[in-house]
Amino acid sequence: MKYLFRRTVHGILLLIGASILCFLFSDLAPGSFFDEMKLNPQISSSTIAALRAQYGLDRPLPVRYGSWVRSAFRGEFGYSFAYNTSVRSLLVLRVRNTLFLTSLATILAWLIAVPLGVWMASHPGKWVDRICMGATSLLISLSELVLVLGLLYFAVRTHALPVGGMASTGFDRLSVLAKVWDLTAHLIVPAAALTLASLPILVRHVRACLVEILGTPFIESARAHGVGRARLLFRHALPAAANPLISLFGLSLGGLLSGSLLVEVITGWPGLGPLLLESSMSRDLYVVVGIVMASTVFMICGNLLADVMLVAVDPRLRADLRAE
Amino acid sequence: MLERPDSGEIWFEGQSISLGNSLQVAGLRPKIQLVFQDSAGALNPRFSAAEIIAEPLEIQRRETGARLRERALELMEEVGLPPDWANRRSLEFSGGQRQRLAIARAIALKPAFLILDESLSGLDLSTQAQILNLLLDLQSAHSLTYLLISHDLTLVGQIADFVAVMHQGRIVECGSRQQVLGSPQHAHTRKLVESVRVVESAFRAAQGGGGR
Amino acid sequence: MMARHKILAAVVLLVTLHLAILFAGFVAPADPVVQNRDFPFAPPTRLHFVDLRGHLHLRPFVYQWTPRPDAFNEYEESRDREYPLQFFVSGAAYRVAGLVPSRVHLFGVDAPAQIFLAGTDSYGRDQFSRILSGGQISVAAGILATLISLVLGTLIGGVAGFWGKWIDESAMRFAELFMVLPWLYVLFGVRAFLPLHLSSVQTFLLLIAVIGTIGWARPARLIRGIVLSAKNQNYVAASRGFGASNVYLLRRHVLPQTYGVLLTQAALLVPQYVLAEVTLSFFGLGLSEPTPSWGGLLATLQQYNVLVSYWWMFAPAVALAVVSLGYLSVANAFHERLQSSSS
Repeated sequence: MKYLFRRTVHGILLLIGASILCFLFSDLAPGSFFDEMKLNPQISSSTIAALRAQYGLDRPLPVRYGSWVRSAFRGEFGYSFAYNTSVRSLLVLRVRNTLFLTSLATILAWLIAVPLGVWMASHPGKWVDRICMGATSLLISLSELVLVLGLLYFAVRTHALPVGGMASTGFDRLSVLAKVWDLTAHLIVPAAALTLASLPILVRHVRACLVEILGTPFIESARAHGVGRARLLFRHALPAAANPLISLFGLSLGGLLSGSLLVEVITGWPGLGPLLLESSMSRDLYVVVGIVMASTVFMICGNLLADVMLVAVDPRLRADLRAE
Repeated sequence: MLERPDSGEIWFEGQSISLGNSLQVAGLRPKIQLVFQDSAGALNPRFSAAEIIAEPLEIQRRETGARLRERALELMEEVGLPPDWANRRSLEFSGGQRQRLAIARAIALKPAFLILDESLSGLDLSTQAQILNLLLDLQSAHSLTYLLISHDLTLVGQIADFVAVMHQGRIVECGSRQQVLGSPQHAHTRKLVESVRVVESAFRAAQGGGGR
Repeated sequence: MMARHKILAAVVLLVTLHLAILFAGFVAPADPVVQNRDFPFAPPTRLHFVDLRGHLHLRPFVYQWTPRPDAFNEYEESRDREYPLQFFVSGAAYRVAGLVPSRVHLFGVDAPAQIFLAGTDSYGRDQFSRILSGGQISVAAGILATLISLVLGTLIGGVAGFWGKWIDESAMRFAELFMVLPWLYVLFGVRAFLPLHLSSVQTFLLLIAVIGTIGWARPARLIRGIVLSAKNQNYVAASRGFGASNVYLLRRHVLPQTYGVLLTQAALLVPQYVLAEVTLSFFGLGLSEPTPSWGGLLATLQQYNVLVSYWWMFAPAVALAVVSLGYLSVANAFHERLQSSSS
């Protein structure tokens, strides 16, 4: 319990540090939202200055940071210049959409990666292992960018799947079943791209973990005792692999909001990705900060969850904690 | 100084060195050297034998270049290692050979005083005997004084002139060999001596019984 | 030894690729910025070995593309003249590695035919040449950014591991901050917030600096771990007993242990950073026209009609994949070598 508390405090401190870093980074750039307006000769510079003052952009960094924090506590997380609304209201829908996509892809990736990795590790060097290693190398080299473009190509060529966006026009008029089908059809390309992109690294990690564990003396002695293959795997090897795998899982969870930028923008999925791109281009400062912070929160929570799960699962860590 | 003493004093050649300033310590380094127990950890596994032995000379800038290597080979011969193994990496050596390497390195700077921290533990008996003989030869050749730390009382009884017994971090008895081992005063010393006697008589009984 | 052979093969592949990219002007048959408005979106020129009469030629030849009179953006080969492939031809002027002017190209065909090994884009520019010179930008960005990350990481990680205690604590907390931020988002954010009116060179350097600076944390952690464990070895204590200075210890005992990890990290980071540059250019945040970069070349695929009809525009993806595969094999081989030497 105390551990949980300590880790949570640690997480909050990290969050604060990250937000400061974020503000510092954004301050690196001298540009601002109103730079575009400067190019328009019809808008006088005094108007721009007045606008800047109104939005508080001319105040020094610590002051701006302070008012952002206050806004965060109020639940607004800043103000979007482009959309004229609180950042929170913008983000909520987008976060939902992104999470929908990435959770699906992550679950799929893990569901495939763990059995595949375990299988590969138990038959190292055999043809299954070699083929899969080659395939993962290929998939990693064909980065996410190429994968999503390739999938899009096939989707368009075969006219099988709708391309772009999350819903077809006239979505509201569809029956419930048709709505589900429509959503699924739109999901396939982005989800497949994301899954294929994250799968190879996961498979390799799982395989590497398990290969290491299967080579340890305690597994060998269990094997010498005559423990059967399945029991060896499930009762001895996998629990030992839980430690690194849980950490990996925490990282996967943490990346739920930040891994899908490319796929979303290219397929037109209305998540955080396109919003970030748009806000970056138009220098909508607080939206950008909001998105970065949202992803950071997820990352910190993911790590925290992994730490807690580790302590719950690994008796060695519990003993360490008790000894403190 | 590798460690700072908590209490007490260390005297060397008539001078207190426990609170030694860096100048004093630097001057003393060549005179006092240390051979660790764990030879594998005490020698960089990626270094060749010649590099290991030459290292103290290199650091103290006693020799350079070709002369450095010559000296390293000389030392190798002195501890009984074949000089054509000079380029082998230290992890290719056996336990006993690594100890020889460590000893060669320790005497490179021609110290007067050598601390052997459990240097013979962890070796099999025949190797122990060889290393022991080496140490005794080196002692007479270079007039070395040894401080041997060991848990093997028989070993201590064989070669030590003076003996100090430690118990729970404190020295509980010290004196000449005959005094400490012949007529132990402290309870702990007595227990140690007693246990050796038990083992020895069992050994002799086994020999006697089997020999006939 | 198997591992050594693998490293050698992968390194040879990579070196060949890098040489081809470095000498892009020489290897490419055409100038990357020259437009051929008559040949927009021409498919890759086909190499023939057998002519119309059924004779086999050892030297491949090409037919010139001519636009189909009835269709839009469709071409057919005009069979009236064969243009054999020539080597070491004289062509457009360029500078070898940006310095020495030259006109010699590795291969080409006589005018008026042109050889488009990877087709052309909407302006009729030869994609093969553009891929090669775009590679200069993308790969250089990856390598330079990797250098920055590794230097920063080694410095900070090394200091943290060696001097320990509060330096270590604060350095690792700082690293944690960097590892928790979504670096792609931050990259986009920072890049987009930079002024619009920077020159190409400035943009390029700034890009590399940002990409490299964001990624120092993971190598730093690794280096710190190695330095820490090396520092606690008995042989370091022994060296100190001989009077070794910290500089000597670092130089002779500690740093040599990091070389293996540094090489593996380098081989892993370069493709990641190349990808980062490609992603940025893809969205128009990298270098701008007409400087080619792989991301910019791929960006045309965002247009529906290009994606569907002109498959050769995927070619930069092949280049990217080959580079990534090369570095990945090298990284795997290094990793294997490291594992086997430490056990």
